[in-house]
Amino acid sequence: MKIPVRYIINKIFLFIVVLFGAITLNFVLPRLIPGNPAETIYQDVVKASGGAVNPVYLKQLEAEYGLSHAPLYVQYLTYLSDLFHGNLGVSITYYPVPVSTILAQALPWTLFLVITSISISFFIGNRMGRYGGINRNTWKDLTVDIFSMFMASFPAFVMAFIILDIFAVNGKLFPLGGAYSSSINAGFTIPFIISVIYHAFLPVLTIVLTSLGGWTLGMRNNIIPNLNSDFINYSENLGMKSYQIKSIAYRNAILPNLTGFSMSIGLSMSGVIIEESIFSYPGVGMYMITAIDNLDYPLMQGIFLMVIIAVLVGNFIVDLLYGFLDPRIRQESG
Amino acid sequence: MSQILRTESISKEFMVRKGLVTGNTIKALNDVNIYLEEREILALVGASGSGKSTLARILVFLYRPTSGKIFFQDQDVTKYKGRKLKKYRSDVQMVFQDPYASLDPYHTVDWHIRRPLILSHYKGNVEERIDELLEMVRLNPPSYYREKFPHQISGGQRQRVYLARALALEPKVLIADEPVSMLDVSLRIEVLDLLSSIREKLGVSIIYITHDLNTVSVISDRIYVLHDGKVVESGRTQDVIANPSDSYTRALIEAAPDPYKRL
Amino acid sequence: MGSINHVSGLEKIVGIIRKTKSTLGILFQNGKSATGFIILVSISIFAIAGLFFAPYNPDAYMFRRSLPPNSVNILGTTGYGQDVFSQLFAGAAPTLFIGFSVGILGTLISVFVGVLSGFASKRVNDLINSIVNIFLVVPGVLLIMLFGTYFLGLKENLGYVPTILILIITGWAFGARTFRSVTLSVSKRDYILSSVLIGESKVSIIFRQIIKAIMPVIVSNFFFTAMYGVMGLTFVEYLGVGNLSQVNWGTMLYWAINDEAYLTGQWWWILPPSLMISALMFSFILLNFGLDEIANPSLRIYNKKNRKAKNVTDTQN
Repeated sequence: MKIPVRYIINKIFLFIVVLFGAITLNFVLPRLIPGNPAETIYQDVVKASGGAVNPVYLKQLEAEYGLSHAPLYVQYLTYLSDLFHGNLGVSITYYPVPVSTILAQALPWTLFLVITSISISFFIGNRMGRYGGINRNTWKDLTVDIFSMFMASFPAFVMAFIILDIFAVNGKLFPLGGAYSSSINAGFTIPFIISVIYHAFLPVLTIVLTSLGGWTLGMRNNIIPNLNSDFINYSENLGMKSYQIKSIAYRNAILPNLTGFSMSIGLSMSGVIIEESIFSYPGVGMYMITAIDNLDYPLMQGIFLMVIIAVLVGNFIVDLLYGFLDPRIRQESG
Repeated sequence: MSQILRTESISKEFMVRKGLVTGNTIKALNDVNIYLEEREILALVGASGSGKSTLARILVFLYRPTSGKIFFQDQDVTKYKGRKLKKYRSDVQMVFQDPYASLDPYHTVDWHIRRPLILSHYKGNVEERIDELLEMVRLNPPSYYREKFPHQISGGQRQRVYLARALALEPKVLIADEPVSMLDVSLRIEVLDLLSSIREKLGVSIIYITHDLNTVSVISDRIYVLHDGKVVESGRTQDVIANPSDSYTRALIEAAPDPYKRL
Repeated sequence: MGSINHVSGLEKIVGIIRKTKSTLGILFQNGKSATGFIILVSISIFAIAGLFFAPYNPDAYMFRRSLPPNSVNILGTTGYGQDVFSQLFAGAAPTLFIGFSVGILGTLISVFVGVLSGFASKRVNDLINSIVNIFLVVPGVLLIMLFGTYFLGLKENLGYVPTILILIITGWAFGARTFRSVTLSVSKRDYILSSVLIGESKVSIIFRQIIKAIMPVIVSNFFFTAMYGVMGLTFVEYLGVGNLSQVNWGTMLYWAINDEAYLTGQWWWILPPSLMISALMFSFILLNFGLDEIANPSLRIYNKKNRKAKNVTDTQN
């Protein structure tokens, strides 16, 4: 198999540009907040605790932000070099735990949810879209369409509450929260894996239901022009069997649907972040809500950065996969 | 007679794919020298992929040539930009192949002819001029056609509307890129006849681009045969068709369906 | 513009009415967009009526807490003693207002960016493309949180402006990508090249031709972005980065969830805003999807009668 070098180089370039943009945005935003963010937080903390805060904390906060009153470019360079060394600062809420430690615990759970739910929703959604497209303009198609659109009409967290209410609060079929049962030791043992799946079931179900519609409708709209195309008609006239034709049309339609992946990783990540707090799932989303409530900027920035890097890497992998799957790109290397 | 338009070893390369690393190139035109005389109908003949449409688009600067020069009335126009290019384009107009694509589906016939008149700051009465142009391309009565949208008229009528649009700028050269290939055979003669009468009445020089040798002999004075981006044969139309010297031209002539030849 | 001078004002108005009629006609060509349109109009009427006829002050804590639906409070009361129906009724207009504002402004920005990059030089195009990609790839919720806390940090009462701004910032990129590719494909068509050749300026081509050609996509995108606006509003409020003293369906959900209405069985509090938001989103999705079917001929499926009619007109030509 030929390797589409030029395509890969282009994608690497885009990856670096977007990553750099996100890192810079992360640097700029807290500095846009009027006044000194450290002081703002400090005042809030003082107010909240009734004045029982050591003033050293303000100095500490300033240090955390690199608020050395140095010129902006120096701050930026310090920020970049800290990043490069994996130094994301210290969380204010969980003081003195470094942000990187929290992320190391939380990020794997989030990634697990995102990857599982995207895979399932991609598979089911495409299958449903295929079903609708093949039976286009019949009541079957209409049912699939309406169901997908209806599911997509629920804000993710509303769906999460509905599901939590039905299956966990009232049904008591699934746990109310957590990633695995506390009575089981973590490790690659069968009870542990079962417990993880059991705990992830409701969050994954929620994300799958709310993101299914995009894949279904996308696939339906891709497969219909394919089924109407001349070469499919030609194959039909050659006497190809109906299931063969459907699978050809399906394969042709799934490729453009893959481009939707870049958006869907971001969207699913959004969904997961929201839902983790509802299902008390110990991923980055839960920490993000805590960070916002406590104006914990270092933690917020760290999560922001890690999530973006995860999404970018995910996109990059999908792009590479796409480069190998699409014959037009594969052939282009010379 | 003097030469109104002339190319000097025009070449055009296309990059197959542009990225950070440059891709392969395809030579669409290779060292092409042609000239067009005043009041002449010149035919450019070639199969698809011969580079004839590329040449047409270079002559109106929809593409820039990779190398070579273009002279219009003995002025080097190759590097023209901005206002000078605008002036040149009003002198050298192009008629597109597909009359179903060359008219804006959201605008009326009237709009299509009015815009060039407004843009060229037409001095006289615009309304009268629109009627005049429509009559010139034999769309009678003009008032019937003016408010029609492109989808309400036939292919042959569309191509004539397009001619009226191009002629509104009073060009000196008209480049017609396969203007009749999308039309029914019965309509082709009408449009070709219209082209020759435009030459007679307005003194416009015409470059007629086609793959169809039958229509070439009907209207053109002189012919260039293009093959793989090169001119392989040129001369007076009757001479070339009667006595082709290049093997490719011979193949083209043999391939052309002769309506009078019995199978 | 001399040509338009002779058209009298009255004729202009008649023309506008005729155009609106034909636009509505397009919406009704497709069952999905027609249904979506009817739902949207119903919700809009509900919202306008809610501005004037809310039975009680939606903010006032004037009832007993957590009452189930009864003859006085037809949808019961909140856990804080407000009338749920009044909140739902009065909160409809702000919710729709945000959806429409985000839809209109977001679409304007994405048309501007998309059409511009479709016409720009390769370098500018690449730059715009990577900016659009950043906004597409970064999870919207994170941006909502970041910008939201920024606006909260301002500590000024700006009404709905911050919320709308946040949603536009996070919502314009989807459309920009669409318009970029649509513009690229339209600008290669012969009739645009023809306008270049007769000497039309880029601005004139964009406003006189491109915008008209991509109008169905613009309308479809408007509904998509408006849907994002409503969805985004609920996220902004849920995350607590909006202004929680306002009454809209997003804040209703926030307070219901905050008071754990779903755990305490107060379905009359959490269900009405949920259902109304879903109905509104559903109508936007239907409109967006139906318009896509209308705009994209390859998805259009003729029934036999239509196909026959089409053949007849073909032969007439």
